Amino acid sequence: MSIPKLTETEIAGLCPQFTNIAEIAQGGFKTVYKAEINGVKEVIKSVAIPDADGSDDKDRYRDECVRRVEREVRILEQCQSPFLVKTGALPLKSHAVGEHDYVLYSEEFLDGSDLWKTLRSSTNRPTEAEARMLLKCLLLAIKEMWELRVVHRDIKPCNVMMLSDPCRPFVLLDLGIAFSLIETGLTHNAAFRGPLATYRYLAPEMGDPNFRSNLDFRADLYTSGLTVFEYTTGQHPIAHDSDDAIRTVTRALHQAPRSLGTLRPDFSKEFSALIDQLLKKKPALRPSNLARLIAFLES
Amino acid sequence: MKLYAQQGYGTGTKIIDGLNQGVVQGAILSPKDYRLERVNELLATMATSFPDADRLFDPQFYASLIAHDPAARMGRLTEGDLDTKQYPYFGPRHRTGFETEANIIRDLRSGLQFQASLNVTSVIAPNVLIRRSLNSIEAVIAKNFVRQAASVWAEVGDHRPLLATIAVDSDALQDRHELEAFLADLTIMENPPSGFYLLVSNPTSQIGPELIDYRTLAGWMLMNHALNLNGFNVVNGFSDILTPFLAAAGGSAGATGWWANLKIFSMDRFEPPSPGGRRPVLRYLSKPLLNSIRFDELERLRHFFPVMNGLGTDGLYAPANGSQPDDQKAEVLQTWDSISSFETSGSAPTLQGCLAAVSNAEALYDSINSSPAMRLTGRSNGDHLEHLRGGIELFAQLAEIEV
Repeated sequence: MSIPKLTETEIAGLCPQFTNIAEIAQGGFKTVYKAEINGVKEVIKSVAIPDADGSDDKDRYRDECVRRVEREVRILEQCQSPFLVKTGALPLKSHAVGEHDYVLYSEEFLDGSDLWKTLRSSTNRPTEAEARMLLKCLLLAIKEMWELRVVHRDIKPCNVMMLSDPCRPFVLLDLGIAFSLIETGLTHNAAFRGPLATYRYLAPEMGDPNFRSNLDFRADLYTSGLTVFEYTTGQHPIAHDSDDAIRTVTRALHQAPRSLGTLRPDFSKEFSALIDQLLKKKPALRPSNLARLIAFLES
Repeated sequence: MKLYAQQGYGTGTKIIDGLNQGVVQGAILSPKDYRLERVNELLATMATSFPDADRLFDPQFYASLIAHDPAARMGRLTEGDLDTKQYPYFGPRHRTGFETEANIIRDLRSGLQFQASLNVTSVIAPNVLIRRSLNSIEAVIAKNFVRQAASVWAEVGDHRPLLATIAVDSDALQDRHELEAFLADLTIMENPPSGFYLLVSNPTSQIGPELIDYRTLAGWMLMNHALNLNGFNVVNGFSDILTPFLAAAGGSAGATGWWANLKIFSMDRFEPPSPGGRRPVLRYLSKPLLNSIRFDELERLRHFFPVMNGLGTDGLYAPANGSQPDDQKAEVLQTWDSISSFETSGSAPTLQGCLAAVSNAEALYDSINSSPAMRLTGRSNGDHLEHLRGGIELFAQLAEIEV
C-alpha cells in the first residue's frame, strides 16, 4: 500500500513557522514543498517512512530509511562547499500523521533549473567554458564530500541545479543514497529498497557485488563525466532512452562510451579527452588527482 | 621518453660516453656493484659535465629479504661492519618485520636520509619485491611502503622529487583483476610520491631474456598508463627494448645496461651463483627486428636484408671487422642509441607506431626465414613478436582504448 504524501495544509500544521507552502516535486518516498520562513524561501522535504507490519525485516527497513535521511542531513551540515545544497531552518524531525510516519527537514531554495530539464527543453548546447565550469563545480563538491569519506553515488543531470549566481553556477543536490566509507552500511535487506542509483547513471564498479569494500570518489568522477557529456550533447554516452534497466546496466558495464569529441567537435581535444577518460570502466583509468583536474579546468 | 643507463658491474666509462653521445639521458646507479666513493664520484662528474642528465640511485632494498643467505651475492650492499658500512640503510630483513608499520617507516627514513646525502636529481624510496600475487601480504607491505614514503621524505626536508619503488614478479602482473585492484589503490593514495620506479622481475622467461610474456607486458604497460593518467612520473628500470612500448603507454623513462642482468630485472643477480657461464657473444640491437642478434648473424644478414638501424653507432660494427664491435662498451652504446631512436623529433613513441614496428619486424623475419641459410634461431628468432603484438593488443583492451 502506498503511503499518502502530506498535503500542504498538513505541512503547514507541522511547520507553523513556514508560510506560502506549495508542493513543487514528488518522487519515490520524497515530496518537496516550496515555503518561506522570515521572508526567506526554503524547500521543505518530507520523506514518507514505510509502515511497520510487525516483522523484524520491515522494522529494520524503516530504521534504514530514517537513518539515510539523517546521514544526508548530517553530511550537508558538515560540508561548506557552495556547490552543495545547504540545509535550511527546519531541523530534521520525525512526525506521525494519521497511521503513517514522516521525516521532515528543510534545505535552501535554489532559484534555477535542474540540468535535466534544461537539456531536454533546449536545443542550445552549452559552450566549453560552461561545461568546464560545471565539471569544476562538481569536482569541488566531490572533493569536499571525499574529505568526509563520502561518495554521492547519484550525480546526474536532475540532481544538479543551474543558478544565475556567478559564485554558485551549479549546485549538487540529493545525497539520499550517499555512501560513507567510515560508517556501517545502512542497507539491511536490498529486496526492500528501490534501485541503488538511477540505472542510466550507475558507475560500473557499482555492479560489483562487493563494491562496498572498493568504492571511492572515482564513482562520482564517472557520473560527473556522464552528466557533463549528457548536458553538453543532449545525449547519454552509453544508454539509450528505449532500453530497459537490464540493457542499460549491461551497457554501463561493458559498452565503450561514445567520445565527446565526435558530438562536440568544437570542444578542445584536451577537454573532450578528459571527459572520455572519466568515463573509463576501471576506476584506476580515471584521472583522480582532484587538485590537478581543477587546475586544468581553470587553465 | 628518456633512456637511462642501468648501472652495474664493469661501468668504466660507459655511462659518461653514453651521455657524451646523447644516447642516454641519465643513469640509475646500483650500490651492489659500486663503492660509495665511486657512486659519489660518478654523480659529481655527471652533475658537472651533464647537468641536464637525471641522476638516480636504486637502493636495491628489495634484496634485503634474501640477504640472510650467506651465499647470496650482496656485493657492496653488505660490506663493512656497523661502523664502516657504506650503505647503512641496507641489511637482512624478515617479511614479518614489515607487518609492523614502525619498521617500514624506520627503513624508509634510513634509506631516504641516505639518499638525501647523494647528489641525485630524484630519490628512489626503498621497497620489497612482490613475488607471488598483487593480492598478497607482500603486496600490502609494498603498498604501505608507498603510502608512507612521501611523509617520511617530507620529514627529511628535501624537495627533490620522490619515486616510490614498485618491484613485482612478472607472474603477479598477469592476474588482471588483482592488477586493476592494485592500481586502483596506488592511484588514490592520500599523500602520494611524485612518481614510481617500476621493476618487473622475470626469472622464468622462455624467450629472449629482454622480452617477456605478452600478459606481463600488457600489465606493465597498464601500470605505466594508469599511473601517468594520474599525474605520476613513471621510470621503468631494466626495461631495455620494451622501453618504447612502455613509453607509448605513458611511461616517462626506461633503462638498460650492458650485462643481461642489467637488461632484465631478476633477483638472480643476488642469489647464490650457479656454476658455469661464459662471456656472452656481442650482439647488435636491430630496430627493424625489434631484437638483438649476434654480431656474426648481423654480418651474415646485413648485405641482404634491412636489419641495420641507420644510426651513428652502426659504425661500431664495421664490416671490415666482420661486424664485430671492439668491446662491450660499443655494444651498449649501440643498444642505447637504438632504443633512444624510437623517440622521433622529441615525440614519445605511439601505440600505433609500436604496432607498425611489430608488423614491419614480422615481415622482415618472414623474409629472412624464407632463406634457410639466413634463418635466425635461438635468442635471435622472431618468437618475441607474438608477445609484443599480443602485449599491445591486450594492453589496449585493458586500458579501454582503441589502437
